[in-house]
Amino acid sequence: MSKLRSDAMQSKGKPFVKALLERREITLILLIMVMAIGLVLRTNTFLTSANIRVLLQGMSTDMMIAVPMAISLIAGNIDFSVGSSLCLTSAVACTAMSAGVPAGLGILIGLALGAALGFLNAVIINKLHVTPLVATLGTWMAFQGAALVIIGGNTVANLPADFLQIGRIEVLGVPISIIYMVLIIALGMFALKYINFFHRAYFIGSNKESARLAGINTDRFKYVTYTITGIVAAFAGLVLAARLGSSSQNAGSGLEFRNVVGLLVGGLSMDGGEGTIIGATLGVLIMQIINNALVLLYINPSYTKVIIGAILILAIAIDQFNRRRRAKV
Amino acid sequence: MSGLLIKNVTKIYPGVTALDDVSFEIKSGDIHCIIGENGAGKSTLMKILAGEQQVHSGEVFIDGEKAVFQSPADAISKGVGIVYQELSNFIQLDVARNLFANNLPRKGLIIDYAALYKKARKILDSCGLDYINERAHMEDLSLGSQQMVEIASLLSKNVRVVILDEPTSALTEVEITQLNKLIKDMKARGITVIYISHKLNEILYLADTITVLKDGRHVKTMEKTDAVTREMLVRYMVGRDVEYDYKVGINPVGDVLLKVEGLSSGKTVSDVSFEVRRGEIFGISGLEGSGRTELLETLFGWRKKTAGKIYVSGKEVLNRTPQESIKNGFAYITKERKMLGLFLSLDVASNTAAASTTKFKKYNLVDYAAMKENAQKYADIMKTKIASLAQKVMNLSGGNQQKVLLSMWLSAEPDILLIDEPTRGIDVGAKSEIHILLRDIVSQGKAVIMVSSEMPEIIASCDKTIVMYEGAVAGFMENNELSEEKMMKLASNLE
Repeated sequence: MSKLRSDAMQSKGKPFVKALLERREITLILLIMVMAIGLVLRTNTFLTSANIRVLLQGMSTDMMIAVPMAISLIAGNIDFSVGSSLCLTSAVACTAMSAGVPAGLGILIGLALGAALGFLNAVIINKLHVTPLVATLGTWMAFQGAALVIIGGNTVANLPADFLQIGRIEVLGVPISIIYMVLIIALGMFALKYINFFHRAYFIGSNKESARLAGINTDRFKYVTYTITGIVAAFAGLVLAARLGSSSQNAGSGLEFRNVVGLLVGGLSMDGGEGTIIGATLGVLIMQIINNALVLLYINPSYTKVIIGAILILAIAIDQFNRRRRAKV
Repeated sequence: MSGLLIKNVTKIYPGVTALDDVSFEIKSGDIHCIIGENGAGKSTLMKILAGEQQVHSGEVFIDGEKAVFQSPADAISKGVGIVYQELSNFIQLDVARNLFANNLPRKGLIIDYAALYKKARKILDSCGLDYINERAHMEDLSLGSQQMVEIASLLSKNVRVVILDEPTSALTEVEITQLNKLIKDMKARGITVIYISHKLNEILYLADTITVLKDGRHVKTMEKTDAVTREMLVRYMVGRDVEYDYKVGINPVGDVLLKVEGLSSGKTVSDVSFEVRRGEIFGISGLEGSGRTELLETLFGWRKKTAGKIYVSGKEVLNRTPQESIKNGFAYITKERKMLGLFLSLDVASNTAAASTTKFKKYNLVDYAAMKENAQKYADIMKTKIASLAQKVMNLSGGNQQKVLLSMWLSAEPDILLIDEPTRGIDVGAKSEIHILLRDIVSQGKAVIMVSSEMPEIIASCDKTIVMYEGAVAGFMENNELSEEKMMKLASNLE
């Protein structure tokens, strides 16, 4: 009888505070507060509205794409090609627009191409049975190469004025890219938690075989989520080009890498089955703050890569440690 | 109503007939227990009933209607579900989600969480599981509770036949009591429970009817009455003619080569002691899960030793890692030769040299010629049928793969050969060749320790044998004392 009671205690929910502390999101918020306080003390520019604006705008491209990436990753599907998708779709759309294609059509072309690239990823994974990591590494390179073919080392400028608007207008003083970012985060949160189709990501990531046995079509899930990721990557690329007024081969460089680190820091696992959009957001935010800090503290940008690399290894090590601990059950 | 009729069911896998013309009836609402030794066909039959496998020939009827299941999901929708020993659930997710999986309550496309938790609570309560919190994460529950949730999940899908495959092998006493209560509840609701176990005490406590399978054939179905005893069940389970004789006792036996004292690895291997002399084939028998493989793993340094000592020729050795064990003269041929032994995509010569690569160097570079010579030598000794030494091992038959694996370890010139299921999945002809080889090996002054689930094999080839039960040694016998009945009794903890 007493054993049953202890089981009940175990399963009734641990004490609220303990459960709360074990949630990754709380740890992340605390970490952000610590970093913010540190930066406020060390510099006098961190908490200025100008810096916050730069911070949020700077992270908007990464963050928008991190949302669909997170949904895919929770299902155990990684997408390493997003930066190159962004670059390629941006290159094609901008080249078209600078040659006279109207803004509306140019945007449509970009989004459609993004969808096609995403769908291609899913086809390679589903039909050729290549694992997501290898498949999207391959397309990462292929899409980047295609972008180079189209714009070479040039920068495409000369974009139509109405196109530039989609990246530059402000609503109530808030830059539109920040608003897009917030909307996509909200949409992602809602879809993952409340829309049955996307909520399946947790089941697929937790136990793919059981998910299939339960009747979940894991192939279809991949088609949909990779295509959406492609569309969002294209959208983010268009917004970026509109804001900068140009498109170049550097667009989206390193994006997938930064996002994967951000997602892992944010509590997602490479194997899938866990994580939330909030966690992903906080993770990407932390990476941005670190980047921001390195600039404000006048640290040599070369060190950035070392630091980010170190964080990635740390994040994966912690992820592995947790998985091993869980496997001991 | 949920009675089953199994009629002339036969299931053949390449090389082995798992079920041979099996027919019997499972009465609706019964707790029907199926017993038999390892390889009797219990699991195969259950997989067919649960929709995971198809019959080769024969039919299954449920309530008079022929039942053909395309998949486990199909079986569940038609009322038959199974809970396996190794649970397959969504461990990071909560209980409620595990109960509903692909069937979350929704309003259109949107998930209705309020309804989800409410319905989950109702299901748990209706199964008497009021102590399980529907919001708890599966990974925080004990194994027993996880199993209850899986059963509750089946019941919530209106499954009328629930199959439990060795459900108590990893449960505590308290959890077993809880499970028994749930089983009796299910019976009260008219659900048919099919229960596979080799724990005869449990069977006699729970069963209404007992079926015994042996070597893929149906032996007997009987009602459980007071007249049915464990000894009677054992006699039905074993008792076959011993077919082979591998010349036990023809070679001289030397000094004690290996002495094991109080060896333990957690609870899985518990205080095991025995001695093996040069020239002996030492057998380890017992049921699946009794710790036989784990004992070999501990001896070889692949599993952590928590107590005890190992002595080779009188000197203590630690064997903390496989490398150390190999240096001390041990070799370990695992029972999963494909996954844990051979290098399937490599050729015969490379495989043969794999456990002794340091032997094949010339001026510190790889000596391919020596590797080939060595592989050829063993292929000749063992009469391994290969097209050439360059042939990839994955293309060889099971028996020949086993010979290559043996060659690999013999190339390392060990003194003590640990071998697990030496002839599993191998045809009769190759079986005897391997046994003769093993006898040759010990005739040269080495020792072989053999784990096998095939009692006739142990009786036919081992000089001395221990029988294990739940990690400990239940009995020790010389060859002339061995009998299947005795071994089975010890393995079931009946003497």
